[in-house]
Amino acid sequence: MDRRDNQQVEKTKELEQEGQMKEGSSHFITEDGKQYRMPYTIIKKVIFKNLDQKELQDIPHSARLQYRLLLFDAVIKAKVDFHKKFIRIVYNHPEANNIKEKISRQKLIEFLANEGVHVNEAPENFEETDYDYQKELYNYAYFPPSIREAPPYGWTKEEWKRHKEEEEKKKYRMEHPTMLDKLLGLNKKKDVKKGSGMKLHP
Amino acid sequence: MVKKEEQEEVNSKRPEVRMDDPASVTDPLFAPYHRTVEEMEAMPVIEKTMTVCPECKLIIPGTIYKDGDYVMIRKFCPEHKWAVEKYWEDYEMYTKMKRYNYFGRGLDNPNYLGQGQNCPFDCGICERHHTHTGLANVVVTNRCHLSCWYCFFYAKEGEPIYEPTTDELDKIFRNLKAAKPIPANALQITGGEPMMHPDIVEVIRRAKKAGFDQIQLNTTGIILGESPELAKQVKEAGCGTLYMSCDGVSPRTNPKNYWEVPNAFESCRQAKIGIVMVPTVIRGINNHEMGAMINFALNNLDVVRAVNFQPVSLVGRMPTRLREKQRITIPGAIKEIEQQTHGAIRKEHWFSVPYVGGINKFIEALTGEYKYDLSIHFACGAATYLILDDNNHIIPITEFVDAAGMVDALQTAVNEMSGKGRLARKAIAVKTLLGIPKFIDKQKQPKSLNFSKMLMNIFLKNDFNAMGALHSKTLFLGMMHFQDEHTYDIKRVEKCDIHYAMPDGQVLPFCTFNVFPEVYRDKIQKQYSIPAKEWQQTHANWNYRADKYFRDVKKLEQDPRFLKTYANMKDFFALDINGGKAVENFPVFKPKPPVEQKVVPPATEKANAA
Repeated sequence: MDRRDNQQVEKTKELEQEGQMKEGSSHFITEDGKQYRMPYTIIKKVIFKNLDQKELQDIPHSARLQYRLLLFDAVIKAKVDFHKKFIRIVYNHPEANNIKEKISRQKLIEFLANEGVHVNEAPENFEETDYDYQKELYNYAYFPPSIREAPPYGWTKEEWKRHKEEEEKKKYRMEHPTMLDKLLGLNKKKDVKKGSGMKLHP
Repeated sequence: MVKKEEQEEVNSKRPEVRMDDPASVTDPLFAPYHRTVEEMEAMPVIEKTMTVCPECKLIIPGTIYKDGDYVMIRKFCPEHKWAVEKYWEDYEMYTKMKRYNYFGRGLDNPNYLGQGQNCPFDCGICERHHTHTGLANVVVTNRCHLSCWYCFFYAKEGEPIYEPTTDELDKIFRNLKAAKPIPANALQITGGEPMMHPDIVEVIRRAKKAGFDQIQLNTTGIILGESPELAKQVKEAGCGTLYMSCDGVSPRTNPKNYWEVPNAFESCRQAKIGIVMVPTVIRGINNHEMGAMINFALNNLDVVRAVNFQPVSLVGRMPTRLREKQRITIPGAIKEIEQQTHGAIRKEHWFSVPYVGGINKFIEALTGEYKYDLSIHFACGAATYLILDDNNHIIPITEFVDAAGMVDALQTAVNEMSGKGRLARKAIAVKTLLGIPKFIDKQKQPKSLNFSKMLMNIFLKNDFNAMGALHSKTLFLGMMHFQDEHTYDIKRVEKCDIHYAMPDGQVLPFCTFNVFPEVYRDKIQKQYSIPAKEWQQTHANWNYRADKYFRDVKKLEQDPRFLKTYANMKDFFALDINGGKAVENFPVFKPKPPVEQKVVPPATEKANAA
């Protein structure tokens, strides 16, 4: 076995530059000097709005339609929202600069029509924008922000909401004691009474 | 002798199964499949859930109900009508296991923005998920040196190659460690055959550096069996466990690696790597050797740490009758073991995986901190420990530990500790722990083990080294039943803690990744794959067949490691102390005559020399 590391990346680029490989999959991004494969760059996001809820039927049928959309290799993400009456599709459009499978918006519209969902391209019902795969999908998945905060052990969400500020001040003071704190021993770890506690096997 | 180019790829032929067996129509084993709708609807309902239509994937309600001893799931799709499947093959065990079910914590920073309204087609993991990553799977290649007929995980000829670089894998590892509030800590490096990744040692090293305490390699063991030196490098890099597929103890049940398992054992012995044997159990194929597999593991207890049975997940299209014949669930497998070991390992010895949550919650309450959780659905997994005493007595741990009573006591303590200060909590803990010995039957406890002392060390000193002593004398028996479209229960998948980390940064539960590969596993891996043609251009001398392993059975059967492993196997269950009845289907070893050495007549020798 040969040690390879990122030789694959270099080799693909080399072959492309030499003209030996016409359509290599050599789109990479560089982070901290390291290269990572990136299958898509700028693709498209289309949202069909104000759909007829009768056509979407219900949540299970909307979910199945979402599944069926995802069966297209060129559909990267799909969301069919029954309640909000929209379909959002992130797809690899025919003009995109990559070697992956592609699909046109027209094909998607035809497919949806076959599935019994009729969309129209009037400005108020339709929105299409460029979608930066790296920024909007890849980077989100790799560096996801916190969308909620689990309270520390023993606290319920409500209790923590009320006491968070006070507790964090205490914690900060423990970690950054003043001279007076040190003299009074306030920086020593105390047995802090916790919230009402968590129940086992709720 | 057949030339290498003409040899068949290993394990590439589907075994023939008779479908016209008239017994299957009248066998009570299949009766629950053939009820009328009225009969089914008259059965007691246990629970309602959401599932999918196996045909069209429409999300539909599922009813879990009792049919005699069986727990079944039925569902009705407006287009494809009724579908019925075995959910669990023992109602009594179902109710026992269910009481340990509890909800864990999901992620504060899920990798995909979504509320899971269209679950399981909104996956990535979303905010609706109930557990953190307990075991993270990372696919390092889809190349494999075998061509197993039932496997969809490896690249067939002409298919794109998925093989991330070390840097890309490193990024995936760091992503898993960034999960909040509890980062992943156990990693399984998988494939394809992960040992085919040319930088596998470096990959393991990077995973260790990323902070994973427990690193496993999911492998056939063939490459490591051929190279003890590589096994040592793998160990030094940080991999302590081989998660090794091993479907039986005879060539018929284990065509995948029967001949190579002894070599893998030996390499791991030398490298001090523990082995988890992983048999996929298929009724009618290898379920008759489950007891024999446990006995095989006991024979190699110096290197085998566990046997983790996986009742088959029948994903994909197959004839209905065949599916019914091959279906086995966790209790079905446990009953097979009970029967084949003549009651030495019985169904009451097993507990569901979330049972451990009771112990975990106690430690959390005591320390005042959240701990790594095992809050999976109770129907997904079960486990027990066997202890092999100094006189070869096989003792299941629950023979001397009242596990149910102990966890009840711990639960009471957790409730008492709730809202109290640290000193008060510690006092309650000490009082509870002093009561623990009453749950341990010292008469039945192996002499080599002081179980209550071990528990004290774990609880009070957080000293898990004591567990090491337990592991060295014991065999962990596990069951993990992954779902398929027929058994699918969305409540189970929401609690899954075995996750796959994908190259696009998303994380998926095992049973969405593998049950709907067309929209998850295969789809995303394909996006990040390299077309076969390009792979060939960038890898000189590579071709599909060059990756394949071809065995020389005669040579392997003459190997001393093979003879050591199979020729001198002991039947522990046949010992008087263990009941004195031979384990069913104990493999009888028939030594093969040694390969004849051609003796060259002196005259010919002279002629050759001339």
